[in-house]
Amino acid sequence: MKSTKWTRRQVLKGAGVALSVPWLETFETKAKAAGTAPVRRYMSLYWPNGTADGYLWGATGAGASMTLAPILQPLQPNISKIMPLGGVGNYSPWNGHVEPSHGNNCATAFTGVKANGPMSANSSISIDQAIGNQIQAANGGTLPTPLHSLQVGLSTLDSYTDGLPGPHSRSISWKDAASPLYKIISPQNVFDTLVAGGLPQTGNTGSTMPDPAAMRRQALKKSALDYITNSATTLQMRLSKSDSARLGQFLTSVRDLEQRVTAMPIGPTTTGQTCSASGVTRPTQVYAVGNTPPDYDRGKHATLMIDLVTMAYQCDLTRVVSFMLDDARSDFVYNFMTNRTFSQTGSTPGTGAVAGYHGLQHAGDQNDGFATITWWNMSRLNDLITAFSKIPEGAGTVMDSVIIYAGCGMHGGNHDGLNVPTVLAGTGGGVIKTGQALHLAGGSNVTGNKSEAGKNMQDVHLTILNKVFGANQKEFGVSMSNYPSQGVLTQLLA
Amino acid sequence: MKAGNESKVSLHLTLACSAALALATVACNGAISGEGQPGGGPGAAGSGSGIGGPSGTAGGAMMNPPPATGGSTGTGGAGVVGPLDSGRVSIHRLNNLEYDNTVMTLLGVNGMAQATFQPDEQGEFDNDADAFTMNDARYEQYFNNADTIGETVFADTAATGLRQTYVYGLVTPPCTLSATDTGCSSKIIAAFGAKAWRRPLTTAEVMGLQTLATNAISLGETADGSIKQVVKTLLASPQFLYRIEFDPNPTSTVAHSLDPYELATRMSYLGWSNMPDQALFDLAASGQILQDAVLTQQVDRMLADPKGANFTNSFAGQWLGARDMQAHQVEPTAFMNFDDALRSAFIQEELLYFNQFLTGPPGGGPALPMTKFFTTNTNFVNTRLAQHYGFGNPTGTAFQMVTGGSPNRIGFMGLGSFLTFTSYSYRTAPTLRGKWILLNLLCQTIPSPPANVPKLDATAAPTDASAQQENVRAKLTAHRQAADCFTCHSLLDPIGLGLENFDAIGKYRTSYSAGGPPIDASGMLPSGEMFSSLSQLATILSMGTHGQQLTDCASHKMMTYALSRSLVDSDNPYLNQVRTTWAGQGYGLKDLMKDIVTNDTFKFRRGEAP
Repeated sequence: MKSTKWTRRQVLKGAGVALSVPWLETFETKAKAAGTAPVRRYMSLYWPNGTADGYLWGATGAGASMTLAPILQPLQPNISKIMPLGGVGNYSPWNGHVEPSHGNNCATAFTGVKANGPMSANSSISIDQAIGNQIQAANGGTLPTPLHSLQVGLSTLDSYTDGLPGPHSRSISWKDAASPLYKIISPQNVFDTLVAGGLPQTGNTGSTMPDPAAMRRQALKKSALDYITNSATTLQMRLSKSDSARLGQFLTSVRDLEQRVTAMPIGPTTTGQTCSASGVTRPTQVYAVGNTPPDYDRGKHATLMIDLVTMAYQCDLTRVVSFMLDDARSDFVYNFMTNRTFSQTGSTPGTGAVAGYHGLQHAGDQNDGFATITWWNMSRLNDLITAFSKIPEGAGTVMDSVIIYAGCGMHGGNHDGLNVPTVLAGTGGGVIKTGQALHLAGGSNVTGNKSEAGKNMQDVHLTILNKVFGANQKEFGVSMSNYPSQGVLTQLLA
Repeated sequence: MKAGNESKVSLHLTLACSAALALATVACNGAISGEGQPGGGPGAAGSGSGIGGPSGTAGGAMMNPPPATGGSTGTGGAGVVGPLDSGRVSIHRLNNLEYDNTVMTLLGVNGMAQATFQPDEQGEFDNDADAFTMNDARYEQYFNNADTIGETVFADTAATGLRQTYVYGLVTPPCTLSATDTGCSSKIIAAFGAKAWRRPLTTAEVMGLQTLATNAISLGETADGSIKQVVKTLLASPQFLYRIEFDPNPTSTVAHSLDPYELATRMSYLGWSNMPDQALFDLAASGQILQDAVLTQQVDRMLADPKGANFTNSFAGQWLGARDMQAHQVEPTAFMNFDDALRSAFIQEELLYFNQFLTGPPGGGPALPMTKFFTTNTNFVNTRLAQHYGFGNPTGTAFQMVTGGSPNRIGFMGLGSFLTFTSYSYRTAPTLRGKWILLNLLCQTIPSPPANVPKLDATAAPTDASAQQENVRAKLTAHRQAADCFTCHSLLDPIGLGLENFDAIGKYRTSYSAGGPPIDASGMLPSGEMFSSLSQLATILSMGTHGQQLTDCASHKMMTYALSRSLVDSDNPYLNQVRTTWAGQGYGLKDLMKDIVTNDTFKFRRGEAP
């Protein structure tokens, strides 16, 4: 990470209670004044296991006549801000032969590259990371935010069971081929990551002078990190090529942390918040895989995480987020919910607690439990859109700058990578044409039984990367002979 | 494991590493030999071989290449000659379990990695060195945690407190810290550093850390605070967070013996998922660890130690699926009486079952041979599990060994844990049971399923009785009619169909629903053997080719875990050596471990071509 143009100190100064203009206006105004790229924000939103098929999923029409199938109906309040997509294929990295495993489909969805198996966690850069890099490049090589990107998720259950490397099921963000960026599931840890080691927790509250104890702590941390950097660099010279590369990952993380520690504000202790505008305080919830309290509630977990990513956007701590609602092949029991009863036209509250996710996936496409979980996932997408739409920015809201790719690597109970459920949300600054349902038909060189093949998932990613974020890539991921990249998909554009 | 009572087994075995176990270890007051005189090691950037090692007996062996197979051990691997490749292990980040254990041993506090960190990446096992990665969020966890641990230890200033016990007390005779004199602080740094980095520090390394301490004093810290700064920094350093083995020449592919401290560390993380104790450090300092007889003695000692439960919990917990059982979900409407007490009993039994093949039955006696893994008629039950199995009525929460509890429940495939975690939440999945046995106990390769798999259950939800009481055999029979499905399912299904008398939580049953038609648990393996009961199936899978696959698979799995890397073709000669030796020892798993740790692929490593 290069030095940040807007340090956290500035972020906090901007968050001062005397601030009377809408919070984010300062960033927008600064960007315009500096002649830098306009503020654009990206989110990968992942859910596993696909969706219940048939009448339960899908959308038709545009504008006022757009209608949503029952599972998508939670998005009705924000219907003008979404674009349900049909015909998105997660099969081209295999050149037509889909390997229908959960881990493979997940690992491929946001990288566009077939992840190597069985034991090597070798993949490729994911779209969120490519977009983060592009944001940095478009800003003259320096990040405009303290954090390059943020990876979060909700999975508290070890769902790794299909014999593939764990990261293929657990991470949709990859810095490069060898570096999966595991998401953080603990709300408190997400908060701490966002505030980079935390604001001074104690000190001379009320004074206007910097806290000397906090200054000493910062200096000690820097001293420790300097030592570790030097020590690891010396060590690196004694290691073989591949081990040196492994330690290189370590060194990068140490240096990035040093940047963040250096940028940590040492002001007078005030509100203890990252930015007062967000109203988010440090959550008490600390979760890990296999470590949840007896009263754990996935719904509450989701709400906390949505508040935190909203804070990240609102305070401009990062513009790139990847969010895994659950891990690939999750069999988490969604029994905090009651089944809904689905019909041709909608759904109503039903009876009985929802069961395990993966078991439901394979219990037939038209079962209410499976549909209820996907319905819940769409409700969280709706929550995100609603939250971003409430934050004023410039003449509009944060949502105007956002593009969310909400999707899944797998179609549904058949394990296939054809026609995977996908919804885009947000126009990304007026670039994407929301308020319409689109079926992408007619991939080239379609052979055999792949007649459903529409467009490559990678080309949807490419369209966002190039058109919303101003990159100029020819393709994203791999382009295989049977399913070559068709470049930017103009039908997605406004 | 030893137990005071002939048949009672104490409950050390829990899945998460118990803090109590680590607390039970003796606080290290002795100093590592050579500490305080670190000049015996190499320069900081010099050769990595022979760190702190003696120039005595074992030293001469250290640079020898491994002997060619086919010599004294008489391998079964058809006349392998020529140079072998002992392989290499990448630098190895401590996984969350190893980190927590190590922090507990080193400083007496809970590392909290399992409770709060990102989960480990996972290869074949969660100690696979090649699978580990580092990213910003993960490193920040380590760094912040080091800060927290350092504060905790140095806040406990009592004479018997953490700071004295785990840091200052390492120096004998005790010295007095001063902000103006580095004599005492350097001694403490050298002593604690040698434990944190699992090897003596060089003079240059001690000086570097002393400079860090001096800087802390110039930033306003006290003398105590300067040592705290060093402790925190060491906990966030790569030499602590990674197990690093050095090659004298990193670009040479010629094998060389591990440094004694590196070998002690390999042993320690294999047997205990923890850092070496003083005995292992002493054996490293004297070089005796390089002797095979010492290594096999250490296997005995380490498995007899309470910390040896870590091996069972980690290795068997992963290999035999006890961790899958921990995470497995059961549909409450299908199995109203399934609860955490039963889940816990399943896991305990599975680990105890494994232990009788490792160290022998509780109360003593030789280990059972792996060849009886499918057929032994022992179970380990408490009241809850005995009721579930329909075994009379043992009382109490302690586990008892039961022999011949039921003719229907035989061997590993009769264990409640296995039968449950390979099922769906609401019904059995014979295909998954068969696939699990083939993959994990017979080490067979299974082809991937094709796309567009038709569903077995048309519409019923898992909460519907019709789905829960599905005649899965009939459904699978119909499924196999499709040519696409036949190839795989004729391979995958028979074993699982032979287990249909056990429901999705491993309870014995004779029909899919009350009053329904009886369950048919007969079948034929692809290799042609017919069976009509679990005991027949278990016997068939223990004989001939299948029996060979079972022991071969066990050696493959344990070697993978012991080396903490995936095995490759060049490992086969070494694997064959181990298998040949093991075959002559009666197939106990502790003997297998001894054969592995004395094998050259465990004791040697090499660099890699640039």
